[in-house]
Amino acid sequence: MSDAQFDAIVIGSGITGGWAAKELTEKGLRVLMLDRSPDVKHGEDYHGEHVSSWKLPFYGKEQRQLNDQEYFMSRHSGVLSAANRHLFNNDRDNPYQYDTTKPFHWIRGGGVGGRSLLWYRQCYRFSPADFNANREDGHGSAWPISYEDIAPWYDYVEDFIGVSGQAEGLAQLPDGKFLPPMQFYGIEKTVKKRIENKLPGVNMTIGRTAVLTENHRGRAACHYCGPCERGCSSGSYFSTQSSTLPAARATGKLILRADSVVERLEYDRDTKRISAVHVIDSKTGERLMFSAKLVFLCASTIASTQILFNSSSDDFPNGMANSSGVMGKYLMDHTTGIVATAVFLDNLDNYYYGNRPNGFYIPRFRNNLDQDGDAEFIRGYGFQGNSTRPHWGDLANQKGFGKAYKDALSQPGNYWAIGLAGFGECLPNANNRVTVDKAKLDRFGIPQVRVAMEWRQNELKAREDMALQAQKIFRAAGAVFTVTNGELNNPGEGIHEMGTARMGDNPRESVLNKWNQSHDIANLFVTDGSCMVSSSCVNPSLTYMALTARACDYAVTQLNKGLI
Amino acid sequence: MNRRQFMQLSALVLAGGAVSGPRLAVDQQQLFVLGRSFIEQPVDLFSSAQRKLLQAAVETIIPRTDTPGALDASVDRFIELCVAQFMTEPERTVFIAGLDELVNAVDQQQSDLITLLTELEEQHSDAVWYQLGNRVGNGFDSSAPFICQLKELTVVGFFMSEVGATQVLRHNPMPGQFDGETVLASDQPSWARNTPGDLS
Repeated sequence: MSDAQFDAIVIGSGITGGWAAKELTEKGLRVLMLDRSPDVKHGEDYHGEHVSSWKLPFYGKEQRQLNDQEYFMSRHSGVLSAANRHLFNNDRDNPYQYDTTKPFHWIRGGGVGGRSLLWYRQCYRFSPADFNANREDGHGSAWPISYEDIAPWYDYVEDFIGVSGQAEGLAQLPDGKFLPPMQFYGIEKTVKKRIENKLPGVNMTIGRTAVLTENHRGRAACHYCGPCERGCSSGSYFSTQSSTLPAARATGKLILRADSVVERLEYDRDTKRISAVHVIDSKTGERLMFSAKLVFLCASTIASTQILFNSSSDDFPNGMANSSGVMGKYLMDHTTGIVATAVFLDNLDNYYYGNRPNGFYIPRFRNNLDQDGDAEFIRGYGFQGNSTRPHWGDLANQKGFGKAYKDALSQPGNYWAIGLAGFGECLPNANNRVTVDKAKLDRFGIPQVRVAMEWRQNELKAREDMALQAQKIFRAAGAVFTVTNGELNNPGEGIHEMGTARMGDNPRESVLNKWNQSHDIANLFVTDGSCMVSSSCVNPSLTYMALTARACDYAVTQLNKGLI
Repeated sequence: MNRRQFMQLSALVLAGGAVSGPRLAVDQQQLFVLGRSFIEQPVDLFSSAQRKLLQAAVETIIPRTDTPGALDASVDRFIELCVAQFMTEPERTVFIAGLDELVNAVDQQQSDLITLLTELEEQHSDAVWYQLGNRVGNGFDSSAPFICQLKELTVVGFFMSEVGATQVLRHNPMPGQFDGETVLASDQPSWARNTPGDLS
């Protein structure tokens, strides 16, 4: 491959890298997409897809010793199994540093497509209030864009990826362009009615999810087999492989190079541009160099930050594009781990057919218009919920043997269980940060990242409120029994890490401008989660996609005007 | 074997040379590709006396009724594989000691097995395993006494097996639609599951 072949280099093939490749190629650019991981071919490489339970090692029980040694972060995803281990990062081979007394769990994909193959697919828009939050309460810095700036791009990405959901007309959770919603369980309809009657301001809607409820743009509607995280050869959920990669390839302008670890970017002082991307082939160890007019950094929040720090030079001694000094700071994630479970004795003559790869959502109901008088925290949280009719696994832990035990376990338990999981907004804090440790090199000789993050006062106060409000919601819903786990997960386990190269209007306080373009280097764009200025409490992937598409549009316009 | 399976297997065979240590994933993927059940692989941990007792125990826990039972599903073989390869060393020690005690008890006392198992269950009724809200999932309770280990592996080995999933539970790997309000008839079995616990 000669350098002159490419107009743009996209680093990373996950949710945002896939979008950048699609947009840039469709606008006529010749694109090289690099990913550090091995290729994962759509369909062909989903080894665990539709594999019967009796073919799984130990019938699906966790292989603890293997995971302890090699997948000790990936296991925290909750969706790692023998059926998809090859899609996860090997944590032994790809280490990073953190203070073990304040752990940050970095959960990564391990194949092309990254976490787009493994995500939980929830798609929520940030609200107008989310884009104003920092400006209003003074935490972090102000967003350089408003909801109106991004709204058309939400439309654009939703239309392409296919998001099923129900329009609700809520200010705190703007509606999008939805495919028909997935159905509720009967028990959820009962519970929804009671909650919305008794608790004004609390709403319950079906999860808005990038899973197709009808055929869409050549991809098939969901067949409700259940475990999306094993990969989906019918392309029924959005992933790079199912959606953006085929679109980019259809242009004939994309080259994907897997097994390509980006070591650093090179800056040319004369042109004030990124002049080269230095790559190590992870299979051969060969060192390669690629050049293009544009570089889109989409390697995921922490990895992109690592690449920029490792690209320090005389011009940028504190990390490339870091003249502001804020890079690496203001790392955010969502608080998770508050899980309340309740038992209901309603709708017992209901059962279900098919495996719904989606739950329901209770959007933020605290501090929505003004600060609630009784809230000892600012911002808010939402609850993701799901319902189960108990099966043998829930019923096994009882005494007894023989026919009665067998019969009891063979049939659904005589109750419904509903779980609520809180997802809380995290305030930007300069002390939550990513740095690189030049004394700790990985197997390629690249300095590892060090991550330092902890939950702080506001997150902890919100946690207490989540636990209380979950009880209140369950009481209103008619639960006969509830139990709450009140501990927050470790930072990182929300798998929504973001914020280390934030956008902003002021180049002294931000890394990127309002177009995700580096203030310092005109041909460098960073469009993954690192660009985020605040976290909202909703799942961020849809926003990353919208920002990426918007940035690509701007970049190509500037390029065509000769300004890049 | 279709083309996709062949391609996968070829790639795995090629990759095999570089793989060592605990990276069992390659073998596992071969199992997926060849379409064999997990229990169709050799294991040789237990003595014939241990095996005989284990067979009687699993069939006592989940007997053949008008539907197949634990032995029809080769649950004993599943357990032997789990004890050999899945359990940690301390868990394995607990299991084998528990099994040997049962072998001896049956030999010496001529007591029937269900009485012995019931006594064991009473002795350990304060075990965490029995606590409300606890459940059998993807993990494993390292503190579980033998009787709880035995029950857990029997239940998983039965309901996740081909026999248990397809002949005792209802199995539909390709539902095609979702309906959250079907009518539940009395004595209707649960749906078979993709994994023991809550990965989707």
